[in-house]
Amino acid sequence: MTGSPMLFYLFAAVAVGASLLVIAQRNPVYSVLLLIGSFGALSGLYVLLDAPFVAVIQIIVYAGAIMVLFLFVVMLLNAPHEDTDYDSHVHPLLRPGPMRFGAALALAFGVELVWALTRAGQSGAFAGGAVSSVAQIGHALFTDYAFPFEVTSILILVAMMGAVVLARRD
Amino acid sequence: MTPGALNAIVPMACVTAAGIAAMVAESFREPGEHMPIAGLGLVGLIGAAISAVLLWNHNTSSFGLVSADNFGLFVTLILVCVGVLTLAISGPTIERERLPAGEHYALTLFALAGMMLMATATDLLVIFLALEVLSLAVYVLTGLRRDSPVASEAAFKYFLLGAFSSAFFLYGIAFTYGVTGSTHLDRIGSVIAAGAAQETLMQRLALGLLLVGFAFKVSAVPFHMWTPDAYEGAPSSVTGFMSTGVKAAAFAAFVRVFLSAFEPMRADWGAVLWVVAAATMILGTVVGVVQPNIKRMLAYSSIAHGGYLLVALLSGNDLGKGAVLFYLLTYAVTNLGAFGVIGLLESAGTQPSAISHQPFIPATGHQPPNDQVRDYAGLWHTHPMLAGLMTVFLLSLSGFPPMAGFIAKWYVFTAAMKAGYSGLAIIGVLTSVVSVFFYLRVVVMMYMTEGERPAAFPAVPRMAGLALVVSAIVIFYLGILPARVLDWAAQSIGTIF
Repeated sequence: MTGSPMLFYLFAAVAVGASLLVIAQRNPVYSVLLLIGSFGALSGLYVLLDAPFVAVIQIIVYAGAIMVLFLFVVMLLNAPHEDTDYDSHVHPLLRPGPMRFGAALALAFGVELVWALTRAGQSGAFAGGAVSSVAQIGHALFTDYAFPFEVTSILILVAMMGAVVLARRD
Repeated sequence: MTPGALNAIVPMACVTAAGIAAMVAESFREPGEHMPIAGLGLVGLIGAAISAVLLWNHNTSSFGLVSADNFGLFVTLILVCVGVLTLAISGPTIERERLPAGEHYALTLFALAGMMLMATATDLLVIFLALEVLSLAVYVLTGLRRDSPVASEAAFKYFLLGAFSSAFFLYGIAFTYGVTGSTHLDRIGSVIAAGAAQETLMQRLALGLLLVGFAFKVSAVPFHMWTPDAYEGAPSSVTGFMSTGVKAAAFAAFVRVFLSAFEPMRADWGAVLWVVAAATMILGTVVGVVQPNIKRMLAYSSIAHGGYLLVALLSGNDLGKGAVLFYLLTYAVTNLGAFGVIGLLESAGTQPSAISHQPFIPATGHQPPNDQVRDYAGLWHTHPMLAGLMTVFLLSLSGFPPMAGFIAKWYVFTAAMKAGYSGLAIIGVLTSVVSVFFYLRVVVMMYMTEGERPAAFPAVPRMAGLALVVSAIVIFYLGILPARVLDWAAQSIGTIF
């Protein structure tokens, strides 16, 4: 890639910051939403690495499907809210703890968006043709990595069985 | 694909097939119907053993990712022993705790397949996948007693810390790939050897992260915290299984990765591993002395044994590599035997009817699990056979001649002396002497103290009894006539390093 280190650091900072905030939140719903932010930043990193397919999959599978499931579970479990002890009329940047982080994060996203839009078309990330097209990934998956791919199926079978064994009522 | 291209994965394929068969059989089982599911597992393991013996000396490899060299096959055979003993001794535990039998056996077999893959894989990616297969199965096995809060806590701790260590390991793989451009051990080795003059920071980081990942899995100090809780909370047969099987698989991969791919960086990891090995031996022994619970005691003993294995790994000479294999075999047979006896005695103390079937609610009226050291008082008077077998296992663990444990430790310390690690050898001998104290405490309890409990032991199941007697015989055989097995161990390291 010819992309800029600036973009890399922005995405990386957002990913790390959002991940740290995931564990710092007291409200699980915020944690889940921040995790989506972290996944989004990761997918940006994949784009910088010339892996558009992985980036899209990251958004669709993780940020989309899996996080929706997370959100459902969190809401179904009715996780308790922490009491908010700040004044809701104060400006977000002046509020304590998590809210301030959230505002900083929103700012970072804004900067990033502007950066990306103004530099659209000149980043050259896809100039040389993507290294990992879907066809190439598929080819690698079913030739060089056919065996690890099959091992993954056993892994998923074990995980599935474990979940059933531990969760069922008898 | 040429015929025979899949040969190297036949042993683990047999075990996986048996696992799937066990799973399917369980789903067709009527409630209350008895099915010889353990027998299915046994058939798969025998298949694995036969194929491993047939592959011996052929040095085949599949996909360029799995290599059935003699080293991997030796560990595969150790794992077959682990599997057979586990299947044989888990019957009483399953019945008493009302564990789901089919799932128990299926998960055990899948874990074994993962372990075999981990021992034969020559690519970091495959090693990681195998590690995950075996870890996931073992986490679930740890938490199988869903009505016990102790078991749930154990499984949860084990799962969280295990997932954490997997992340370290994966991060290490990513950095290794970043430095060398490959996840294949041979290529990593050659790239590192070629650029050994200018070691980068990233290369050291990769090494360190992989080391942390392995240290977690072999429960080396300071990454041992999960071990006592997980070992205490898991059903006894599972504890025996994971203390031996996971250790064997993790050490096999540890030896392969560090003594082949990262051998050129020995200057970096040697010193770290020296400290880790010394701390592991000392902490495992010293803390083990004060444990009132026999499963926790054996957990700390298992940590200490991990330390001796690290000494053998660090020695890195042919003697040391052979010693790792011999030690793993000895430890597997001995420790599984000990946990087999513990499992049988637990059955004696707990009434099945007291178990509540509400998940996550502590069972009321649940009797104490009969696993304190003082529960073994007077065992000699009530059940001399079990007391005798337990004595053999404990003395072998402590390294008494003529038991196998003595020969194993002797080889480890000889290897360490030859490699110039006399300090470690001295620490090892001293900690062995201290460890005799806590093993003998149980023996003294069994023979010289009167029990308060009336003798009400159920009959020992035939399979379990047979397995324990055979283990004891194997321990004496390995202790008195070790030459042949040591010879095989020496042969198997000759092929890869």
